[in-house]
Amino acid sequence: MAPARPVVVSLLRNLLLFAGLPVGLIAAWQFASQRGTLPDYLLPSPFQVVAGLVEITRDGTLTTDLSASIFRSVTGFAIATAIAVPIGIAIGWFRSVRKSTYFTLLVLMPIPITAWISLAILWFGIGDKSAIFLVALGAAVPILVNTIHGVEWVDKLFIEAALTLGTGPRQILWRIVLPAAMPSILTGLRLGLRNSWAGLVVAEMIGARSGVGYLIWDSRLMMRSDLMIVGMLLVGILGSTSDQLMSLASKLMLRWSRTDSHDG
Amino acid sequence: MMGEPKIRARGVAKHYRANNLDVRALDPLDLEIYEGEFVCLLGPSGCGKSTLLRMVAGLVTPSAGTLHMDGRLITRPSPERGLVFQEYALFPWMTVLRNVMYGPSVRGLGRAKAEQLARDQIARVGLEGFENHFPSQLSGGMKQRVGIARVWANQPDVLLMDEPFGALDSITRNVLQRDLLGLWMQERRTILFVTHSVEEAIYLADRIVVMSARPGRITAIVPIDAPRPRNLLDQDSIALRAHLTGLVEAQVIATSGGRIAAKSAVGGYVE
Repeated sequence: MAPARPVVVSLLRNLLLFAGLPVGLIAAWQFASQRGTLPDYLLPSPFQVVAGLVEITRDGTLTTDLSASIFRSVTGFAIATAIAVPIGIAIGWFRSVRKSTYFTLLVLMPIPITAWISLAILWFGIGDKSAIFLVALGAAVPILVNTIHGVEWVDKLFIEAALTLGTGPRQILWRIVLPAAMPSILTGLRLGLRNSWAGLVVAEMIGARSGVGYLIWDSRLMMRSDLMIVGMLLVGILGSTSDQLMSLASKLMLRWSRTDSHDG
Repeated sequence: MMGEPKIRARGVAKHYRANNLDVRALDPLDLEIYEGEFVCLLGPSGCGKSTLLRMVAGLVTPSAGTLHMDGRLITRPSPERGLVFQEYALFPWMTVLRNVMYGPSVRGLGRAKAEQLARDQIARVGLEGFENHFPSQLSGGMKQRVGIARVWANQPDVLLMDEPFGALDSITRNVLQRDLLGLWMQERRTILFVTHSVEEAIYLADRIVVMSARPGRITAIVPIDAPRPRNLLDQDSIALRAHLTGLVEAQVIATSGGRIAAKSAVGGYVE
């Protein structure tokens, strides 16, 4: 055992460790801007970025863009989940479905979402639909892959136990395979959500007239590099908030897999 | 033994092809197990004893021969033949109560009845107070108590146990053997118990079926009449242990080309 340290000391130490880097970065950034080392047109100073944020908050652009992006993200993700989870279950469980979809998925899945943008605009035009389509596509691939894996690799022991306890062959999928595959499915949802932000930003840059992606794109054209930075930081905040929410949801759903077991 | 056997194996065999080789996991064998009997299948690893148990469970189809229970052909798993696994095979997403309720509820007994059966069995195996724990929060010994309760809650005619205490430390193992015997003395259900431990077989069984490895077959059937609980250190037990250890080791030595003969002669029982 290390000698006990006052709580205050360890608290300060943690504060320094967590806050040190971001505070230092911002200070260095501000310093470089003030000295002129960093010209405004390349990277505006932190103060200018905050001023930009205040400006778009006042004129309502922020609310419009944020709500457009969140709506597209939530809708796209919900559609992806509703489609990719059942298909993943079917592919993972039925060997014939696995075989018949094998080559199609082999070719389609590696296509990055960015490569779909032209087709999305061709099909859905400029606006919400294109963005939702790309978000859904970005989320669907990791969800599909992880659902297939989870269902396909369910421990055979659970199935044997269930059969000898009187489970009918048709009940095995719902009663045993699905709950057993749930950790893998939830991992897929989390990875899919992360992936979907890339789809959203690209779609809004090219295929929309609102949203945080559009904010980033439009500010470049308007030479407003401060708003560009605001847009990027917003994407970061949206991404990490949604990731934390998803992680919380999986922890709640997977209470059983916590590992505080004891021996004796 | 009298009357019709509970389980009858006639010419049951299992062979399969692996890497272009025919593997004879189990040569044709006959075996009868009677109602209320505690039978141990004893043999070294790879002797096909687990394969035989899984065929009785209905999880493995015999390549030849037939298995009957109460005169009816065994073709698939049934809750009449409950299986306890060495790896416990508890459903990790269910609490202890839910695990034990699983069998009765999946058979449609209704929630209240299933819960009543489950609570009774949980109490019988000494796990009162752990109903709402998840398997990941239990020790190995407790997990297997749940495994036993879960199968017993289905009130099976036959309990099949596949090295159920094989993954436990020796102290826990002894306690669970004693408790299993206690449960069985209260309710004499037929038990077919696979083990590679001579001591475990002597402590538990009415009859020990000794099996040999590759291809698996029955080399001896040894009845034990000594009253329970048995003392493994008394004269009869020690003599029986020597006899059975000899039988089991002869198989191991024969199949391993005598390489471990010297070791096993000193070390006693070979795993």
